[in-house]
Amino acid sequence: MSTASHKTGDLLQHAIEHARHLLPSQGPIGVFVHHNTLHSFQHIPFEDAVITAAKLYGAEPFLPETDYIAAAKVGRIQKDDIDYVLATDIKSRGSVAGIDVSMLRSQLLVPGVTRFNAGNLRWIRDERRFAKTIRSDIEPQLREKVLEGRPEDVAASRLILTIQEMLLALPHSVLALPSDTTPGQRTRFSTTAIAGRKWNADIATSTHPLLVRLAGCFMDQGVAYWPMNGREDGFFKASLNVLIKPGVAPDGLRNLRSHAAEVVANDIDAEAYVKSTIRDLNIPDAFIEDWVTDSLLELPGWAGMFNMLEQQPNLAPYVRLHARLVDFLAVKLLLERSALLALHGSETVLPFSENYFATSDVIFVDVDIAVIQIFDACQLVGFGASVISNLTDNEFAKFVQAVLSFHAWERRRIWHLAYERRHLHSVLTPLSLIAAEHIPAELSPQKSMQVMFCIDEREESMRRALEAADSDIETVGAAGFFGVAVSYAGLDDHAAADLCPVIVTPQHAVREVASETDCGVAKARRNRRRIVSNIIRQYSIGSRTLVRAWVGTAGLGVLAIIPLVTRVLAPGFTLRLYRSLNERLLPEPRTEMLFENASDAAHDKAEGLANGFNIQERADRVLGLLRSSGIINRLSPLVVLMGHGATTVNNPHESAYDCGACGGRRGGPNARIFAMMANQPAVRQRLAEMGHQIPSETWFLAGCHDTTTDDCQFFDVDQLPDTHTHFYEQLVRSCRTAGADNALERARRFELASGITTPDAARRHVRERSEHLSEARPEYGHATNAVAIFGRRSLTESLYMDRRAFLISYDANSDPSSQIITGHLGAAGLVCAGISLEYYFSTVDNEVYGCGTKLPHNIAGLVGVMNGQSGDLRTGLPKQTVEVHEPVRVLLVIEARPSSVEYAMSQHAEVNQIIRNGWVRVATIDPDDGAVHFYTQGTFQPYIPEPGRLPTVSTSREWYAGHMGHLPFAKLVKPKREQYA
Amino acid sequence: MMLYQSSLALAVLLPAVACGTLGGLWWCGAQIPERAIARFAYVTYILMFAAVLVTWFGYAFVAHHPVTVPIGMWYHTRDFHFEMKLHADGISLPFLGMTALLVGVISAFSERYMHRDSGFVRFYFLLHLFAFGCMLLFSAGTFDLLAAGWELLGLTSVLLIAFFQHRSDPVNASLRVFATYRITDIGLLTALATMHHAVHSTEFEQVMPGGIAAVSGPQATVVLLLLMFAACGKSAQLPFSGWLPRAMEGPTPTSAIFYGALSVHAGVYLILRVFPLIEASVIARGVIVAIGALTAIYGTVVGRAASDVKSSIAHASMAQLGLMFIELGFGWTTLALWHACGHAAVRTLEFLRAPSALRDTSHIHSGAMGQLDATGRQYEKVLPTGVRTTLYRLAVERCYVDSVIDRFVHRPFLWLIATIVRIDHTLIGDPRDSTG
Repeated sequence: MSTASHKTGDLLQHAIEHARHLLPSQGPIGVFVHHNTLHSFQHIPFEDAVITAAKLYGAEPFLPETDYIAAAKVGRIQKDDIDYVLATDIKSRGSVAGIDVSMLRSQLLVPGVTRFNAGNLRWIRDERRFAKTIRSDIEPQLREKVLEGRPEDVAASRLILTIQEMLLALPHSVLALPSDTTPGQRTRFSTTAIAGRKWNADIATSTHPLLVRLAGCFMDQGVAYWPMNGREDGFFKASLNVLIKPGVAPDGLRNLRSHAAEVVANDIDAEAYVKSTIRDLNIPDAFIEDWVTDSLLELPGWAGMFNMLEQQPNLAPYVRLHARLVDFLAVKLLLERSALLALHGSETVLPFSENYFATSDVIFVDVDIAVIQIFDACQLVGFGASVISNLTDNEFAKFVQAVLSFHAWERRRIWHLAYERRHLHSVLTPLSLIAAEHIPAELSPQKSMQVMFCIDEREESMRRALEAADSDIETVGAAGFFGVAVSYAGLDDHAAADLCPVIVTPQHAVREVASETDCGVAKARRNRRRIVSNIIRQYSIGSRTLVRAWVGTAGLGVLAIIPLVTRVLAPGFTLRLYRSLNERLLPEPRTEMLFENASDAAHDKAEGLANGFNIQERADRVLGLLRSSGIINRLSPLVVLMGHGATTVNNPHESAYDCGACGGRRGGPNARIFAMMANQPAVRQRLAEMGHQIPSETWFLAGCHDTTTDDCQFFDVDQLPDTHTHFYEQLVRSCRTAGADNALERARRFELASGITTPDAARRHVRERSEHLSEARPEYGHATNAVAIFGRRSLTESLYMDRRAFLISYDANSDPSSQIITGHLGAAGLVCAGISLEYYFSTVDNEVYGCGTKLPHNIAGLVGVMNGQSGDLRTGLPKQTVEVHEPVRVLLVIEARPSSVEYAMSQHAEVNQIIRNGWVRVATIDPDDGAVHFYTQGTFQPYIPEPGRLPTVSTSREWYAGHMGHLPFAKLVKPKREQYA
Repeated sequence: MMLYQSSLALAVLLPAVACGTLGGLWWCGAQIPERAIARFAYVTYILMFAAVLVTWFGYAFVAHHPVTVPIGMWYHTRDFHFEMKLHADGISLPFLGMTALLVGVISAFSERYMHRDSGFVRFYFLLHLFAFGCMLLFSAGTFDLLAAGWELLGLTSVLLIAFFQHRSDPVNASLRVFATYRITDIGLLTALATMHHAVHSTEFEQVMPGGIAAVSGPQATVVLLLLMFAACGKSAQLPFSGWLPRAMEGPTPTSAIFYGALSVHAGVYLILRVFPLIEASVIARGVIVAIGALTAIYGTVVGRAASDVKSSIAHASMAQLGLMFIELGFGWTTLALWHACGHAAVRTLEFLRAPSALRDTSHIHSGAMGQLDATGRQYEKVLPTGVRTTLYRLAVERCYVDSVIDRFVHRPFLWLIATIVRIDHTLIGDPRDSTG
């Protein structure tokens, strides 16, 4: 007995570990990190992984077929693309019944299968004369071949009867398809699913509401006035604590209290409880893993949250929780047990019999459906009744299999590859043409200012606008944390936050403090903020309590009309009012950063966070960024580091718009710290000792670009030397102009902005979007991301790339050992892949992988959003963010030789994994001769650009004006700001 | 006087015109641009608000008596008269004004919020219909017309809860709300019948001439209890409180306008309207106070353990409604009116700002430099742990009201239906048996 119990325990342990990987890895929603939704499937090739995941989660692997068909109609997918994909696809090789499989598949895509609703099959066949007509949308000669000279209805009936006869003569196995790739979710083995099959009842309606409420109360970070007590003992014990109290169980649950009391009396812990349930329900060993997985996947959001907080407890924003996934499972099983008792009205749970745990390797297609599909396919390839009847049984069987195996998912896979192929051409052809023109690489003349932006694809248009506004500015792209990974606490923050990509753990802590002269101001600020926040807190608590709310609403409640009306109808005015009140009442002291560590010794990780950086560390970081972005040997007099962040209101997903390289936060502090470090004489001296001289006339300035309002603010301007004042003024002017131009370009995507034609109007419009309480689309975030280019600015500066490209500055000529590109791919490359794949999955299936529409969202426990007042926590991106996105896998274009990329792959396991398994697409452009290679089937193959010229325009505006959708790349001939009369 | 009468009529008819126009165009398949719908709504509600202000001016400064607009006789028999008239006085005008203002604000909010949603037109159509129902309810001069507005209110509430038609949760929630409304509306309709029987009409002047009840004694008590039954349903009083948190399934603006602002105060309005009748009956007053007190306690207790923002606000709303009922029971009608209007304004803004909870909390924490007192401490001091946890269970399970209703009302009812179906199938045959 005990060995069996041990074995069950091991299996359970293993099952839970396995299930962890399949749960969403989104933590509390205050910090939103973009990552590959199917991260745990990265070891499998992409095309297989999306199918496996679709079967597991009941999700879609690709866009709906109707979307691809619509795309083909407007030329977004062309016949060449489909032909190329079919020619290179392994599963589309061979021939059946005398025709190529690829030809059969091509016809099944275009003109395409007849779509019908299988549920109404009989009606369709009889009432709509489906079986009495030959399609009219096929080519005339094929139609002739099908008709075989007979009248239409005769030919059709003959054909369908022949097919029926021959099919029935074949063994049933001809209709078998492997169950792990056919559309549809796999059979589930959770208690709910099996109870559903056994009793045709859904116990989830009884168990989920209570479970969600208990989970919400446990996780609560500060919404409920009464925190759940006993939380420190874990979810299982805390819930039992509540459930043993006298009360009436929800309808559909039986003996809940007595059972909970029994569990408490016997001091059973969560694992033991789950094991005992396995025993009582008689779950077979082979199915324990599926049973655990499917149980948890009924509420993946909540289960995923328990998992995340178990593995990283510090993610909880305000209240530390002792969360464990197995506790959640145990409570769920507790409730399900009661539901089962209620279902079969007994005192003990009946075990499930073995036959509910059957899986099958194959799924059989319904004969009637198969006949219709084959009938349809025959018309598409020009097979008439006599051709079919002349086929041998074997040939016909192969034909049938070829048609049936090209089911919806398989068709959509081919469509999607064609879709991405067309996108590939739309990117690589322009880049090849540009690269060919720019060889040999000219060194652009030294400009007076260099502005370093984050690699974010939203900055692509800002960089273009800035370069067009001011020809004396060169822009550079680097990850928005600027190499300075810190645990940072601002002046107003009480807790530090990590400002770096999530894969990096900062070793250093930096704090912002008031400068000595303004200590008094800072103290006043602190005190006043405490008072204000106390008032706000009392108000928000008070409005939910009985007596205080009574006094409030009965007394001065009607005054609330004023903020209601002003915030909804005049939000700009209201926010400006708040801002001026803020300035008047909460004084802002001058601040400085405590980032210096006096010690010289290297920091020992085991000691925790170091306070600041020592000289060597500072020098290393400055050198690291300047070298990896390729500007170390040609620094301008003013070098600006521009972090970015976003401003939105009334938006639980606001962190999704911030800088991903800073872990979902604003990048201003990183820029500021870097600039301070790089300006220090001591650091410059150390760099000189290390062999790198920063010119004495170079000054580093930090700034932050607000991607929603397109405003740029700069930090520590008072430290600027007098010699650089005119540069700064020029910079401010150019940024203002560029910001307005950028707003105009962004505004083209917004339906509500149609009719905006001037930059100033656009700027007002985007500012409004950041102010309205009701704005569900303040900006489109990373939607439309598609490409990541690692190369010199000279390669891309004359290209209009429609805000689709992440731009990372990289100079292969200064990277002979390929170390820098390895670093870039391992950091920026993975970040871009994460963003791209998050958007891909939230777009193709917004209900399962994404969080649906924002409209019914309700913040639960301050850790996530639910739809309505009960239900699962929704993870992923909302529909409002992904609605303009084109789901393609990101194309990494690296201006280096293929050997460099192969070296990088050999050095970094995850980079190797995502490239080899096709989670990202990779191309290289040789920096010397501009030859383009594309990574396909394990090697880099030469890419032949499509014929044709690149459209040429003189301003971005010329190209995008009047268009709302995606635009192809264009060449900017004379980047120059258009004058508006 | 004509001016004020026409302004009242205009105020009531405007949303009906808006709804009808939108509905008619939609029916004909016209693709109306969102901006046009929103502009049309702005104009409608601005005019409506202006019309209400004019009427108010007429009532308060010129006429000094209620503004009434006789519309006509719906039909009459020898004994029963179904008149239709509008009536604006000190009770209805605040509600009319709040309706115009709040629905206008919500329609402005929704222009951006509902942008590109496939149900944009449907939303505005239902919003206008709701506004019409409210205006009718609050300006009705007869109980019949009041009931018509009441029903429209209920219908639009339910249709907007089920706004996201493709998911089962909103649809289930809306059915539950609909069932609650229908059952409590029995009270209203029976009360109407009683009034007709007693006084042969349901005009306010006939039922409560000069502010004194025309019915008295047991009849008055019956009418009152029935009306209170109806009011309890709309205003989420016990035992009909279960529907309010479920109504959060609709989009945020509907949560705001219906369950924060207007729809839930319909019950309060009804009680205010029949206050002359209530004054006479001590039993009725006692019942109102008792129900109000129980609801206030219920809302507060359940709200204590509500861990999601919208439920928390919904239960706070419920608690305040309970207090309003208590105020009405004690006869403090002006206070109740003031309370209702203030409450509507506060809750609407709270609901609209519900998604800001994350940022608000982060500001509070950072302002307090992380030193926040935990909430709920006073209970820890006063009550022993066991009692506290029992109370907590009570709160988490919503005082078992839903469980009890499901077990002792729904189940027997469904069993009854299932038994009838079984008998049917035995006698006639199961239509699901395939007959080829």
